[in-house]
Amino acid sequence: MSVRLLSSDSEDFTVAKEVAERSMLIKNMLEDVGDNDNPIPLPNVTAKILRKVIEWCEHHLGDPVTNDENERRNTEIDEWDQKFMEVDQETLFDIILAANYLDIKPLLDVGCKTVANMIKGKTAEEIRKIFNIVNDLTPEEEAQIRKENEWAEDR
Amino acid sequence: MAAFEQLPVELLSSITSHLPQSDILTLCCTSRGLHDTLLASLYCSVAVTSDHLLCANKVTPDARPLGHAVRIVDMVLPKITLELLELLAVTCPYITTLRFTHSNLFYLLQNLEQQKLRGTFPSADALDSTDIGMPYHKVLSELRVPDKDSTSPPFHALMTVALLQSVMNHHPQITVLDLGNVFGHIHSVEKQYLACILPRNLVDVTFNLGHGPLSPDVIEFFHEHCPRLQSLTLKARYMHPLKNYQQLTFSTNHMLKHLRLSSDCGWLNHWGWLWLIG
Repeated sequence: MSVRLLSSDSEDFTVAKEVAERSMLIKNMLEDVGDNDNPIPLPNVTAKILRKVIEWCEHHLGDPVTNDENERRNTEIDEWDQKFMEVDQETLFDIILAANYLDIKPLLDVGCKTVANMIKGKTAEEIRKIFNIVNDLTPEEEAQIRKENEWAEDR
Repeated sequence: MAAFEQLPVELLSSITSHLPQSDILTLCCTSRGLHDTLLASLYCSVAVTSDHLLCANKVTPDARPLGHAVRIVDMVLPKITLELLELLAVTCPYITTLRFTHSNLFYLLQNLEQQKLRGTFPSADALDSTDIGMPYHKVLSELRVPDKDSTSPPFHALMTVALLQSVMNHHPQITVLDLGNVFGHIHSVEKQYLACILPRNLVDVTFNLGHGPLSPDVIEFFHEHCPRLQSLTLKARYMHPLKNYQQLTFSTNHMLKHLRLSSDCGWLNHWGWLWLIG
């Protein structure tokens, strides 16, 4: 069984049904419409990103479903996923947005963990540089925020 | 074109859920927009280190109470009071994880027990007029001290159940609970007391049985009572030496992924346990 997916820029993808069903959104759609040959339109995902997402779903096809909160919280990412996420920042955020839209929880987690690891242990200035964040706080305001939430420093 | 700051709030919160609070604070210091968006995430996990709650009387930039953002609370203050628990219930109604140290809850229970025995605990009538909406005091003041020679359960156990029931009533969303050593010097932890305390939706429990023995019954009981349990950590002064362990059957729980048991006595008694768990 295969399913056709249509990206926002009108590229037609044909994938195995079980691969497409890693997306809860598509799984539910397929259950609703039943078997037919019409492509499923995905207006929020470009062909470039959809290709990445399908690649991920194919690799992780046999993964067991985990609801374990501890496992999810753990920021370690397996080697294949690390390589997979070595993309430019814009693509990384687009993958996260697509995973969220398509409702693929494990991919969303890997994406969020990747971003979290970019932030971990950095200074505010380093984070601004990484993500191109414009600092609109005065040094006094920044100091004030630190002071008000001092408790969080060692937590 | 996606940029970090433009990610929807729920995705930013998913990212910060993988970060310690210190890193979230740094993020809050990078720009006004991120500060306003992430302040609630910063207060998702807090420690209670003094009688004054960090989030009390604070609001988010869009004027919602910060206490409503709190999900994880570590009670690290060595001496907690009933007033503090009541303040917590009022300030942070959506707690899902509550952890006590091994002694502070026991300290509170012991104090309350003594107040009751000495008759210095205010009566329910006296509280009604002043403490509307503060049921902790009310529940405990209505609790009767059993007669010494009666067959009723030990007073400390009754007290524990009453207090913890109040905690669960105030924080119905709790799924992770670390109770430390609530039973203290009480020797037998009766299953029915535990049954009253624990909500069925718990997924992660750490429990100190104090002087009570750790027996397969207890584990079996937790399995049956909390069907969604994924992690169970039990501590006890000693473990029941297992005899006839080949005859023991555990109801299988496919949800349970972590089982940690520990006791103070030498592990020579435990080889039966090792066989069982292994």
